[in-house]
Amino acid sequence: MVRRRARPAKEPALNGVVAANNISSSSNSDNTTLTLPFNGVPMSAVAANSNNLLDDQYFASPKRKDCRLMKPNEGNLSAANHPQSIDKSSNSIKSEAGRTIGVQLATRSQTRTIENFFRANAAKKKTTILSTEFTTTTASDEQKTISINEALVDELEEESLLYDAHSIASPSTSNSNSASASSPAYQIDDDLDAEHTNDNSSETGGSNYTDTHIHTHSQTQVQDQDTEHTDAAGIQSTTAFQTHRSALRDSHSSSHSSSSSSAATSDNIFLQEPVLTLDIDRTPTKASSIRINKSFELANAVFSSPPSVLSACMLNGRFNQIVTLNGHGTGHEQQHQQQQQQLQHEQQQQQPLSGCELDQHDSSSCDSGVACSLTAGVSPAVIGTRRRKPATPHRILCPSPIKTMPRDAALLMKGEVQSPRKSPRKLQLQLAAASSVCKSRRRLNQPKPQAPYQQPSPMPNDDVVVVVLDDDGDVDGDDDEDDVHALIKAAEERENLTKSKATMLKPTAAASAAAAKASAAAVKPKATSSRPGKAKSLAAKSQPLAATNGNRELTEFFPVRRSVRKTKTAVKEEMMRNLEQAVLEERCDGLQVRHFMGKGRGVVAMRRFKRNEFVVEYVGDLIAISEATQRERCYALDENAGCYMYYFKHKNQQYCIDATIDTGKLGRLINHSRNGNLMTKVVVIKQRPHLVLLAKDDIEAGEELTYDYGDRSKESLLHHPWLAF
Amino acid sequence: MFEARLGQATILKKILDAIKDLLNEGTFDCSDSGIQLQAMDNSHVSLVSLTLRSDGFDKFRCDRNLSMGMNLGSMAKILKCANNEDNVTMKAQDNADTVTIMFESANQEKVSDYEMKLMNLDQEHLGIPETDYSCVVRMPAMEFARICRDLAQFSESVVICCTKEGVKFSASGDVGTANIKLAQTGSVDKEEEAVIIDMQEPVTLTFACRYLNAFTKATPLSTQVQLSMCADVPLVVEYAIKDLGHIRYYLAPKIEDNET
Repeated sequence: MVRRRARPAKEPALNGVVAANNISSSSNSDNTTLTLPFNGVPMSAVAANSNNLLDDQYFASPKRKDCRLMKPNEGNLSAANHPQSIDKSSNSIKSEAGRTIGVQLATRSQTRTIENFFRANAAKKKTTILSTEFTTTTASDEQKTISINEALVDELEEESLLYDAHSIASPSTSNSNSASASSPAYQIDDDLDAEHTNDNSSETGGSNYTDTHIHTHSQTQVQDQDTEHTDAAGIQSTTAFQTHRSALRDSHSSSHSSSSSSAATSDNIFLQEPVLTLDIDRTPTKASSIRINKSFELANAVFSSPPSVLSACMLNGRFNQIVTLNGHGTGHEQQHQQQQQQLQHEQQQQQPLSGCELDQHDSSSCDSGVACSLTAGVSPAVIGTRRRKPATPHRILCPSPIKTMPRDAALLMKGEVQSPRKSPRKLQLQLAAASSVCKSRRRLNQPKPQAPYQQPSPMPNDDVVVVVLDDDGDVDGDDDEDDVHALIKAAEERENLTKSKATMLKPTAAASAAAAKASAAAVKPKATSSRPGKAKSLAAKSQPLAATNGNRELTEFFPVRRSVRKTKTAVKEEMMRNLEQAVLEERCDGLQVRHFMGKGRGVVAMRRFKRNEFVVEYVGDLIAISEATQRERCYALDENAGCYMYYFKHKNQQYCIDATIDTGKLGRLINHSRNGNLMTKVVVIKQRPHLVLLAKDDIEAGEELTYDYGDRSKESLLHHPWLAF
Repeated sequence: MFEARLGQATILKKILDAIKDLLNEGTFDCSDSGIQLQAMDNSHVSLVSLTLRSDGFDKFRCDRNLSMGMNLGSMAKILKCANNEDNVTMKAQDNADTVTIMFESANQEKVSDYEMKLMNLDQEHLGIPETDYSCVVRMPAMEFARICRDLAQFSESVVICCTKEGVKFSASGDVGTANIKLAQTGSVDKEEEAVIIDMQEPVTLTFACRYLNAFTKATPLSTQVQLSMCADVPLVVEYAIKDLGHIRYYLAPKIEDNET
């Protein structure tokens, strides 16, 4: 900042003009000060400006203020609440880790089951079990599902038989597949095995069976996806394997969940749905496929943490989406049918593949059975079978491991939000109305009969896929909400939406509609009850003792101790605020104008000013540099005009404050001294820069106030020799 | 380096039992002079102030002031692992994020140590002014616990009325009313059974029973409890911990005074 009358040399455009002016006006004696300063002055001006910039930066961050001060209570509360919630979630995870498949890889990988090593035998055993299970499942299906044809059931049974035969015939196929599987696949298997161990407690034999079964199922899906099918048996096998692993996990999870019948049903649903989603991915529509991927992740999350109520709720939403995707398509189903036909042909052609295919069929049948089983009260045996069935290829699809519960929940939320509801063509609601038994976990939808895959002809469109609920549009912007409350809200919203949608959906059959309503209703109470219940418990825990109502808080009596120290930024902000206030009220107390011999008027402090204290503002017209040059020209004509042009640079822009006109303000009267006791500072108030004079040091009363005008140019010195002092 | 050793784990157990119901977590501020903990419950109605003097420990060393935020539930769990007669040693490095709690059986045959993660708690610290209480009642801790328990059946709040003659606890609710009067014991045979009232002026205050009952969890620590009351000032319930310090509960009075 330079207070001078000279113009800044800065602008090149001006230079030429000015130079011309100089030359022309050089004849005028007085003008030299004006014209010459270009060389010398600008430098100082720049330096001054840079100083200003620094100052500005120093003061520049006025905005963050005390927001923090108010927080401690909230912080406490949240801190108090959070750990609990986290603890709970972690506990729940731990407690149910045994059951849960998806938990964490680390936990899974640590334990291996013997079954891993003896799987082939187990598979053999299982096959027999499977057949029986299938029959049971089919029976249950018939009972609960109206839409399913008995023919399908028969087919399923046949398939299961085939499967059994096949497995018996070539028990080693599964093993060989595993051997052929790539290393990653092995890892997954390990994980699965670990899960198996968990499962074993509940059902040892069953788990193995599920593995094989799932595996087959995944293969079927893969095949379906690849319409080309043809030859690449090796490829298929590998892919199948990957899926198989995932399927295994899923199955485990399902089996675990099955321990509690309701939970089991829900798990199964999950698993199956993902399968459906895979199909969808293959479908030409891309948007849907993308969404599906997300849903997959969600599904994984769900698997990982089935036990927690929250997750369960989330799952519900997720599943619904998935299902809707499935609903996509009758067309797909047709493809599937074709594929199935092809598969059958292939089976005939290639035994090893055929075995897989058969397995697939079985799995598909199982899936259908599972879906059916999802419906209300299920006999334990049926449950067990269902558990095994779900094979989820999605696992493979979504490689990202689930790390933490909350995250999973968040993912789930996102997925729900994002998943678009694909207009389901045929939505069949085959929900068991009675599923109220299910714990919090129960998922809304039951995927319907997968049987169509196997049988080209039999399935009417109605049977295809059941989509109960759509979450898509419902929850917007929920992504950000991570905390429990948000989840709860979302869940409630979802429920409502689902309800409404369920009612809105066109059920092919009146019965389906009724079922849907029932399901929605069932879901709703579940979600509402479970969530709020948990929330309540949380709240209860966080506030263990009597509600505060009627009681005063201790903080009313005892002051909260806060450190008196302020952070540097707080100090700065406070200072800035003071300066602003001072400027706004045009403070100029403690100053007096006095005449000094040889200097004219000057300003004297009438009281002590502390260092950095506001003294006075340099008040004048804030003008742009171009205007300043004009004015300077005018002032140059007037010999009596002093130098009151204060040039400064703020935020890379040159300004000038022109205080030439005597306004009676004191700022303009302060004299120059190279060792002044004031310094200038730019303060921005309402987007307008103000020049403020601060005490550079403590100023005693009676001292004259001075500051450095900053003009060191020769011309200035020539005409204002006092600038040198 | 912080190290504090107590001869008997039972004291620490009792202390934890006394505070863990009120507080989920708390910060132990360790300094040369001892260990202090001050924390409000979540509703900010009551405050726990625990002071353990360094000279009460068998061994106490605290090179630098240290704040250890602990989950008191976890701490209590760990202390449950100790036998009552065990030596307890708490250890923490400067700036450590864990504390080690070691139990040694009397004959050193069994040594178990537990490491617990510390938390960074952002808790408010209240400045408690020195107050001259107009009534200070000392009474058997068991008696106080009994009174609080009994009165809690009648009402959520209990009125404590202290006069020259004695102190009266009363509660009234849907069931009816309950009054328990304690007179100052004339002749003090056993100090622990004495009821001593030091009264400047009579006081009547209303408090929430639940908190009082939570305070009485500290009863095992001391035979006597001291209630300090002053109008419109939080009640102080103090249990002395022999040779070690004290634990004080502050409870804000209920807003006057709907029930008589």
